[in-house]
Amino acid sequence: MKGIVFIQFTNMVNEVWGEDMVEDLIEQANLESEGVYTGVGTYCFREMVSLINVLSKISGTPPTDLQKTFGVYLFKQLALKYPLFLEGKKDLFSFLAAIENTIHVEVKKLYPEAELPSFEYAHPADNVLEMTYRSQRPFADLAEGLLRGAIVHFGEGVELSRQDFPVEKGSKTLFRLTK
Amino acid sequence: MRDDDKDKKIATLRKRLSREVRAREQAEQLLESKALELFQVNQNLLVSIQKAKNKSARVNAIMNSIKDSVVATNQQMEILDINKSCVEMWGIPYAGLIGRSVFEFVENDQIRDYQALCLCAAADESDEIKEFNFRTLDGGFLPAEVKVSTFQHDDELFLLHLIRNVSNKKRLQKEREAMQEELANAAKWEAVGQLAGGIAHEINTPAQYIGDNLHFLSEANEEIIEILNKALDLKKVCKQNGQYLDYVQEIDHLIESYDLEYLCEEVPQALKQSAQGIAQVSHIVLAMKNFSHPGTEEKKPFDINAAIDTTLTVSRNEWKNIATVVTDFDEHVGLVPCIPGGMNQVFLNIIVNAAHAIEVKGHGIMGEIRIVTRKLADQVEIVISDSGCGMPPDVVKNIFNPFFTTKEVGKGTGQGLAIVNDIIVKKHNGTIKVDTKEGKGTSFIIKLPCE
Repeated sequence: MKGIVFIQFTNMVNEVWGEDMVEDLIEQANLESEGVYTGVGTYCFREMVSLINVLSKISGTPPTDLQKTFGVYLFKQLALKYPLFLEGKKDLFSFLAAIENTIHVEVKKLYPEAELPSFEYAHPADNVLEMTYRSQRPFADLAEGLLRGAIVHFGEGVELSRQDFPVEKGSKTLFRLTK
Repeated sequence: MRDDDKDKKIATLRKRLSREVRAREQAEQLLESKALELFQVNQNLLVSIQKAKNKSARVNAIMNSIKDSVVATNQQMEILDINKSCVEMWGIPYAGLIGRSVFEFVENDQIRDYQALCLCAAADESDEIKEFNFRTLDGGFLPAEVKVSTFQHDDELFLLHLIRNVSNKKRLQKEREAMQEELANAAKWEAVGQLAGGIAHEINTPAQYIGDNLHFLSEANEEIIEILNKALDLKKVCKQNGQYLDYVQEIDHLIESYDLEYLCEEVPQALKQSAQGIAQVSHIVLAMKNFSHPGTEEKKPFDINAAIDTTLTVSRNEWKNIATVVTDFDEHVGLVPCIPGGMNQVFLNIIVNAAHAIEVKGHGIMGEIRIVTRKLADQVEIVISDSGCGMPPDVVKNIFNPFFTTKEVGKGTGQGLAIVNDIIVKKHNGTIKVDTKEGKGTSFIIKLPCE
């Protein structure tokens, strides 16, 4: 997982719970990196799992909710940092459709070692977009948070529902977005 | 803020500072390794670019070494790339051809066929070679064989047109055909010549004794008339003396019936005309025999004046209704070392051309062919002039070139004057010049060495 995600996570914790919480998390999460992150570095996804679990324990908020909350926050920050990916996207569906074949391709060019989730798309109706999320990591909730962040960004009143599928490793989730 | 809180705050900030410092070091290491990686990638890229350039240069060299024109187009037939031969063939610079349609260069009534060929190639249905006429910069056309194939690049289909200029091949083929025709004609004329020679020989003997007999009959007739005149004197005396009156009366009757006076006048004339006629036959036969004499490539002492006379005789049918022939022969020309068959051919070709030039000029007036021979210091000069149509400068410069002809298809092979030039210049070390004025006439001035 890229360092920028960890930095944004600690930023969020800093904003919501304060800087002491950040220190507590880093101390308790037993991180290999010892909480030292650079945006372009790559770190084990388990550090994020640990951070979320510790935060959940301290704050009493379920990890799934924390992932979703972080997802919304992360989308907002990424949109500010990388407006390029949103340029020319007239609506949410066209932006989401570009994730797999444009945004992920560009990310891979910059970071060949990045292990990205994949999306499959379906249009059962003109106003419905179905995205099947697959990842080796347990971050379907984070994905949902990101989608919700995108929904907020485009402000089209799109409704999101999800259906999880049992998989041996990682996660597989169908997100249904309805206009 | 309480001291405890302050200490805690300071401790937190120190931790954070420590993390930031380490993060910065990490970032610097990452930056360094990325910079190194980038440098390596850049080096590899430069090598790849150089390789690509070399490869491109090699491909260009290969394309430009192809003698046929190579044209790459898209499916709309817009020219995307061409090789050097194509630039040379169409005479238009590279930049002037890119983006233009191939069809612009195809003769209008062939564009549909060219489209069909391209469609077949695009559908991978045919790889046949077809011939088309392509426009050239000077407004003409050149024939070329075309083969169209296809290639894929970036998921797009392109067409490759291989265009082979066949104008040279066509010219050689035409020359070969003309040569074959000329050879066939030569063989035919050789056969006719041999036949004429044989016939001339056969006619010569009876013509000889007919001439001799006519000569004898003329002389005998004069003697018979002398005897007859004496007999008529006797008849006159008998009539005066009243003797043999029955015979006298019968003779007078016969003289009146047969018109003796007319016979005495006309028979010598008839014999004389017959003798002249048979002499002319003998002359023509002799000319044919001389002209058709089996050719030899060796030079022999050759009577130029007599040869021109002979040629005029055998070619009379060509000029007798078109022109009068005036000859002005120098008796001092004498015998000149020549290849007889070759020189006869020279005179015949020029005289027949002269007759044709007068015929082309037309006007229904008899033209004139004038032939003059002169003995110069160590040369013999033969000038054959006609009052025909003459030639424009662009024709004059080509008349000695093989296969050049201004005559309509099937009438001239374009070999006549080329052969003349070959015989005079190469075989006799002589010279031939032409002096012509359009609408006025033409003179061929031939000079042959005497030794």
